[in-house]
This record gives sequence, structure tokens and C-alpha cells, in this order.
Amino acid sequence: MSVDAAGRFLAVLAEIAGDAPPNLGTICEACAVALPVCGASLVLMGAGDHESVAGVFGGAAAAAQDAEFMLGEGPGLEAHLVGRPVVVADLIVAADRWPRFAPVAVELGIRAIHAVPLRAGTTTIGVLELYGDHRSGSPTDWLQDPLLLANTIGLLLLNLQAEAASESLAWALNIADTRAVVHQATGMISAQLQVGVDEALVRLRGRAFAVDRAVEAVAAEVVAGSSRFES
Amino acid sequence: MDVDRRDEWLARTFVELADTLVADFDLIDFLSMLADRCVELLDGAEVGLLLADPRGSLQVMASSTERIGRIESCEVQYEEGPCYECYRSGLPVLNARLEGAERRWPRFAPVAKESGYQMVHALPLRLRDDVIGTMNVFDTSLHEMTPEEVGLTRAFADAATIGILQERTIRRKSDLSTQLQAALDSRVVVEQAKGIVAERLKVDIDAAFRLLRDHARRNREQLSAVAGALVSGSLGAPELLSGSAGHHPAPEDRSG
Repeated sequence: MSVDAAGRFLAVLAEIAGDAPPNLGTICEACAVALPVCGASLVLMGAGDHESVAGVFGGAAAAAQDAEFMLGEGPGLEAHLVGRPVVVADLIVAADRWPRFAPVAVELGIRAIHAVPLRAGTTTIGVLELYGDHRSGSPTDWLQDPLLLANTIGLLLLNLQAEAASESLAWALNIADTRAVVHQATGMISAQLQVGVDEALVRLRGRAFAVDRAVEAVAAEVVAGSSRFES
Repeated sequence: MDVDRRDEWLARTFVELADTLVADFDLIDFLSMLADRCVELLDGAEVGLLLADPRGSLQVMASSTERIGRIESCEVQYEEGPCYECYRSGLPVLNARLEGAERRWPRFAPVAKESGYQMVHALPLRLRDDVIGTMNVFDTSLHEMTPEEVGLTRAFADAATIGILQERTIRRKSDLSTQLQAALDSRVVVEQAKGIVAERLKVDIDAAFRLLRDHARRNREQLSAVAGALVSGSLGAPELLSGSAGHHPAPEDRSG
């Protein structure tokens, strides 16, 4: 198979986005349509290795993205850490690599994952994660050249940022994002518990895990004032 | 309405706007402040600014509330609504009721009504013969803008255009990837700072953002620097209130 995944991705993206600038959500959608996968996640990292903004397409992908974030382990985080793609052909076999994340992903119907770090300049700014179910085949077949797709997306992101003013994040890069409420909740929790933001995030993720709900849902309650953290 | 007091308020507002057109000019900051001043003038309606990118697609640049920002994004997505009409025609859309607007804006009208708005207006931002964006006013009441209010809003739109020109002239061509990284970093920190301020001062997120932004402007600092200081603990949230004795008061009422 010598199909150019990056080229197909761009064609699909142009069709989905039309005249509007792409955003993280439509970029994920284009990946999910152009490739034989069941979903895609795009996470860009910011200060202190906090996830700055995120986009996603696909129900299972959204739940898996949240689980990886909540549990602090998974192929996406690993790809970002090592700066190289991480390919998981069978999550059941790879269960001991990510003992908490793998069973959650498997239960969502995800069999295989291909995670590719995104670069802007010399730094890794985030990670693209592709999720496959039982119909998706081998993840090594999804992308002939993972770095080509990653660089294509990296260029798209830079292009979007070029149209922003000064140090503000381009609107197109945060329009599909729902992480803002997580950062806001992190700030509130850090003030409630008198701890730093890194620890506040750990506590937020811990509560989401304990009550078995998505991190964003718990964060929204904190910001709305209906949920507090007391020491 | 006291004409003298309103005129004095306007004069101070435009001096303040001119003050921000200096070296460390931040366009988003400038447009946000402009939107907020316009809100004060229009007594509670919400204001947003959309700008056309080099391809001609409208982008949301500043919103006085998150709510109007979201609805404006819907307009951009649907390519339908008062802002799009205004942008395409170059003509203002004034006193447009959402009730009964389903034929004119079949996707935008229901979404905007559901968010609580009843009346919408849009004014073009003009640069000579080109329309470069729109200034939008969304109202939860059925107040119709008087010719005077339209004139004043147009003055704000002109000020926005001047600010945009300024920014395009002085924008530094620094490395894009460094800019993107810095923008991603600052987003985390600014959102976290909003949460810290909201909790410590017992205000909502929108109010927390305004306090951050006002403090940054008063002290001539970048918003992300103020946010970083709050997150690291070198700046305390109560200090954001201490400058508010000089806070710019809104005109007390306006003519009906």
C-alpha cells in the first residue's frame, strides 16, 4: 500500500473545513475520515507540561483521551516524552506497559493506537493519537510515513498561529478546545488547598478517577462552584 | 442622561484607548478593553469583534463575555448571521430581532435565541473601501439602538480599526514556532490565574479575567506575566483590587 496518508488528510480537511480555517476538532475529524481509524486526538502541551489545548473526534477517542489525561499514563504521553512515535498493535498484549490505561481503552473498543509527536521548530509541542478498533487493521499500515503527517499538521498549526496577534493563541486553536475549564479549575483548587498548580491538577485528576467521571466534567463543577476541595 | 458626564466619560475613554497604542501593544488586550467600554456605554448588551483573516474568513478576536464569543463562533461556522451579512455587504445590521429571524438566519437565529439574546446589531470595521471585520452587539433585551448610540458605537468601531492598523504595522516577525509555544504556555497560565483570582476574590471567571487584564494594563505588563506571577505566588490576588480605586467608572445611565 503506497497511499499518501498526508495527502488524503489534506484533501479531506479541505472538504470538511471549507473556507473556514481548520481547528483542532476538524483536524482530528479529517484524520479519522482519511485513515482507517475509529477516532483521533490532538493535544498541544504548554507550560509545565500541562496539556494546553486539545481536540478530538470520535466517542471512544474522547473517552480514551480523557482517561490518558486522568491516569497520567498512555501511548500519547509516552510519545510526547520520548519524542518518537509509539505504535501499539494490540492493547491487550501491551497491557502491562500501561496497566491502568490499557484496560480502559480496551473496554472502549480500542484495539490499536498510533501516537505521533508533533514538532514546531526543535520542540515537541504535542501529540497526535490515532485509535483503531477491530476493523482498523494494523496501525503500522495506517501511516506509511508518520512524520510526514505530523509535520503537515505542525505546519497547519503554525499557519493558524501566524494569523493571531502577538502572544495570544490563535482563536482557531482554542475554539474546539474544552481544556480551559480544566486549567481554571486547577487554579481554583490550588487556591482552595493552598498548593501549587501541579499538585492541584493531580488532586483534580484523582477525584475524577475516584468518582469515575471525566476530568472536564469534574472541572466544570469546580468552576461553577458546586464542587470544592478542602484540605 | 447627563450629557456633560457622558461626554467626559467618552473623552476619558478615548484618551485611555490612545494610551494603549504604545510599544508593547497587545491587540487582543486592546480589543477586549474596547469591547468592555462599549458594553458600559450600551448598558449591559454584550459586544464582540470579528476580524477577517488573510483568506477572508472571519475570526473571533475579542468578546466581552464567553457567551457572545461562542455564538459568534457559531456564526463563523455556519457562515450566516448579522456579522456575516454586515461583512459581506459592508452595511450595518441594526435593531434586528431574533424572534422571527428564522428565515433570514435559519441556523444562527435559534442558537442565539437559546443563549438568551433577543436583539442583534453589527457594524462594519472599514479601512478605506475594505471591510476588515465587524463589531457586534448582542442584547438580551429588545432595546433598539438610538441614532446617537449607533454613532457612538461607530466611533468605537473606528477606534478598533485604528488599533488593528497599528498592530499590523508594528507586529514583530519573530519565529512562528516560538510564538506558538509561548502562546500555548501563556494559555495554560492565564486560565489557571483566572481560577486563582475567581476563588480568592469570590468572583466569576469573566470578572476574574477583567481584573487580570486591568492590572496588566495599569502596570504596563503583559497579561501572561501577571498570570505567571499569580500562579507562582509572587503576586497576590487582593493586589488586583488595590488599583481599582482608579477604576474607570461607567456613565451612570443612558438616555432611553
